[in-house]
Amino acid sequence: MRAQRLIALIVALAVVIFGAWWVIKKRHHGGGDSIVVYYTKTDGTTEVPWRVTLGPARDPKSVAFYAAAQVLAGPSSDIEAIRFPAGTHVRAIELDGSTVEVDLSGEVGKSAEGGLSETAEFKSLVWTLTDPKTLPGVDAVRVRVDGTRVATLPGGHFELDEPLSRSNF
Amino acid sequence: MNHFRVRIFSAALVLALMASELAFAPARAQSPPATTFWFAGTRLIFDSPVALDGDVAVAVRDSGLQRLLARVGASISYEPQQRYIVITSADRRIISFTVGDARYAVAGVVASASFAPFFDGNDVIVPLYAIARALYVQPIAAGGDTVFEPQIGALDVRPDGRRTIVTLHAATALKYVKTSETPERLSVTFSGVGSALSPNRHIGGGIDDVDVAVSGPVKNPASTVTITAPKGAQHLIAVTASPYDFTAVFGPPGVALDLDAPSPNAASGVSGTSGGMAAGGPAAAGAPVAAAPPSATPPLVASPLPAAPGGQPPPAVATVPQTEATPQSGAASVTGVAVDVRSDGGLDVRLSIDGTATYDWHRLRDGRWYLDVADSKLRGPARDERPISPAVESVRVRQIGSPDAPVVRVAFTLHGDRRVDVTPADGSLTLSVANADDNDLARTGNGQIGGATVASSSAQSPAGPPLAPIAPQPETTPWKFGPPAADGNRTIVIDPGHGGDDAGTAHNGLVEKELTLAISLRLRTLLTQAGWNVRLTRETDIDPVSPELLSAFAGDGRPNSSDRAYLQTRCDVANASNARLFISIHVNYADATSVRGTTFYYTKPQDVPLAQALERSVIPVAGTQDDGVVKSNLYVTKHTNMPAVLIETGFISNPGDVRLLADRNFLQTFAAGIAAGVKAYAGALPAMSSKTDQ
Repeated sequence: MRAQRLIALIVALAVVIFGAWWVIKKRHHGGGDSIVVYYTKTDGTTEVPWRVTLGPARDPKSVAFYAAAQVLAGPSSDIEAIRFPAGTHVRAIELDGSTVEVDLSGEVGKSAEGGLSETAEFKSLVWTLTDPKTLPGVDAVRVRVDGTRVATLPGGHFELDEPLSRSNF
Repeated sequence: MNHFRVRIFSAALVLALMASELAFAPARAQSPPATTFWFAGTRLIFDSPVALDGDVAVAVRDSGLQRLLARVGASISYEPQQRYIVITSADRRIISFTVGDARYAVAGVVASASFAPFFDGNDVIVPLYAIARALYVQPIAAGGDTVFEPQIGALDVRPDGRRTIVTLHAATALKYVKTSETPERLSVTFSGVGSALSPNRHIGGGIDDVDVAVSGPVKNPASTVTITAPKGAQHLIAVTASPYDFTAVFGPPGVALDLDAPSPNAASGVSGTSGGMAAGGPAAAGAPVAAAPPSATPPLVASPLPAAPGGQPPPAVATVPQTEATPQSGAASVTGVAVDVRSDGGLDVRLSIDGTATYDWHRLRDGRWYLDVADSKLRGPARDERPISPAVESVRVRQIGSPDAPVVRVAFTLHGDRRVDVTPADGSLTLSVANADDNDLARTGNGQIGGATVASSSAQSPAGPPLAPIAPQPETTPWKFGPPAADGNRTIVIDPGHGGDDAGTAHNGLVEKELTLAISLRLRTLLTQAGWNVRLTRETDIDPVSPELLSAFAGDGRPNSSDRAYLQTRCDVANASNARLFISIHVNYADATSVRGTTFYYTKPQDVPLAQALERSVIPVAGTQDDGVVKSNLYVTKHTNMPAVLIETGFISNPGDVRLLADRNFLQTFAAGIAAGVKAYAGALPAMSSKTDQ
């Protein structure tokens, strides 16, 4: 009888330890999942994907935030790409049905020096956030700048008043 | 027994609670650090720093942290109650932290901080020293002070054909003096920076050794870097795009060291990548060598997707208007290939085709599917891509056949029995792959592009009767690309971009608003001489805006009313005059000076023929690089009711284009190219015109 109790105790402890380990592992280390982030080549049109491993936060809003921040940073500096202006960062992000709303910092306005930069930058942002594996169900991106909606960047060419989808490019 | 069970489950409950607490437990708060902080000779004051587990805890919004980030050119993305904190360094390395996780990633290398970031109300507390080190800033205790010493944090040695490129990356802008120099040995001293690199490193290959020596006080250090190349080598200090970098190029005599020059033996050149090996670790010849954050483990995070077979670059999912679009008689030309993964996971491939051609397609039983465009030439590079689509494994577009019977083949390797719809149109052929299996799939089909469109498909097996050839049909109208001019409308609106307070882009002594007006005025003269009624949205250096629009937009509750009013005013000039065409003239800019060429932007489907006609007429006479016909969401092409194109004439940032744009003859030639494009698009003037250009 005592032996049975001992075995039961060991089994119960093993289950608890395994369960605790699983919870911690899942919350701390994630499962190694990755997302696809796009950058635009210097021809202004070609989107190139690369994979970025996600951290442990996997809820859609966190994933959207992480993906958008990766797009703004762009690929490593030895890769030629059209890049968002230095200092541009994500201020906030919201998911609203099939639209993700990205609030960019005002530094993005420096890119209004020609159709190439504006088109290429927003194309990479839209392609990344509408990738069906990254944010299932999201097919449009609305852009805010410093918390407010804008028609274009100041002095810019590209219309930002309406949500952007892949068909805009 | 019951008592025993209770005890077991109580113990389990306690353990489970402990485990869940571990996941997000805030770090143990301690006292403020008894030190003052310095960076590059100035004191850094933090709002509420707390010494914590060997690091210093500060809030993301702490003004001291924000100042430190600004001094090293970094930016931070963070939103309250959101778990990711993403910092971008000046050299575009991504440093990402997660609330509740002590691990963080620096450009693909995972490291551990002494504590995990945690929420504190609406803010998040982060480890200051870990962030600093990731940005090549080393916290050093000096007496009662803590000095954040900016450092040279990474060294890249990259073979480039027969030459070797050595690049140093630092936390701040690098100022240097050459302390000694021979052709094969360069010694440079950088003031104000220390170094995390190992003092001596044997490289091999195009570089023998790199030595690093740090001198001076911790608040004002200097680092001397000595690069030694094999005997007989020469070197050149290159101009870098970032002030945080220093680049020297070494190579044997006779090899061009200017980085703007083509890479010698370019075909064998290897592109290296930075980051990935800890400072002080072994360095393989030619391998990138970089300082890594503390507690580094092998790279885990960021990696480019595998290159396509055959040494192709990473798969591009793209809309790529291809160059050399000049049509030739006889064969049709495939002038553009656009590969587009749809949001539903399916894939579209759109071929832009100049001329008349027949095609046939076939589905094989092993998942392959191909379409041949007969008697056609591919005007651009072959494509071999692996788009990220659950429907398609690979897409290949290439030239096959013989010189006498050229064929352009599009081949898919499909993920299963995916349906492929082939849609011909005048000037294009679209292949749409569905992201779902279909059990009743046709095995072959054929059709025609251009002329009288015939599209068909059948469920015949590949062994069925041969396809009947469809004779190419001649064009029946010279108005191939444009609408017939039967409505008598002979108004064209030209929009010189920018103006007044809005100068547009201005570099290299040129100003966009002046160039656009100069071209537009010349174009007006040419079109007027040809009999068109031409209106300009501005004729002088003003930014035209309708006061009524400004007033109306200001009260409509929509955003950015003034910018919208300025652009809408230009559109209204064309819309109100019921113009037949709208052409907006601009000058482009890119950070990379190598980017050049002319781009024809459109938004609406009806813009495409005009854009194509302008492309065909402008590029041969202007001599600029053809950057193609590109779709974009530009305001003026979107909100005009008629075919509209925005032409980015050239790059004000590219030396070659600048030479052209500064030449008045070029401006005249460019205008003539546009006028010829208008003629090609619209043909002769309407009958009501007193003048014709035919």
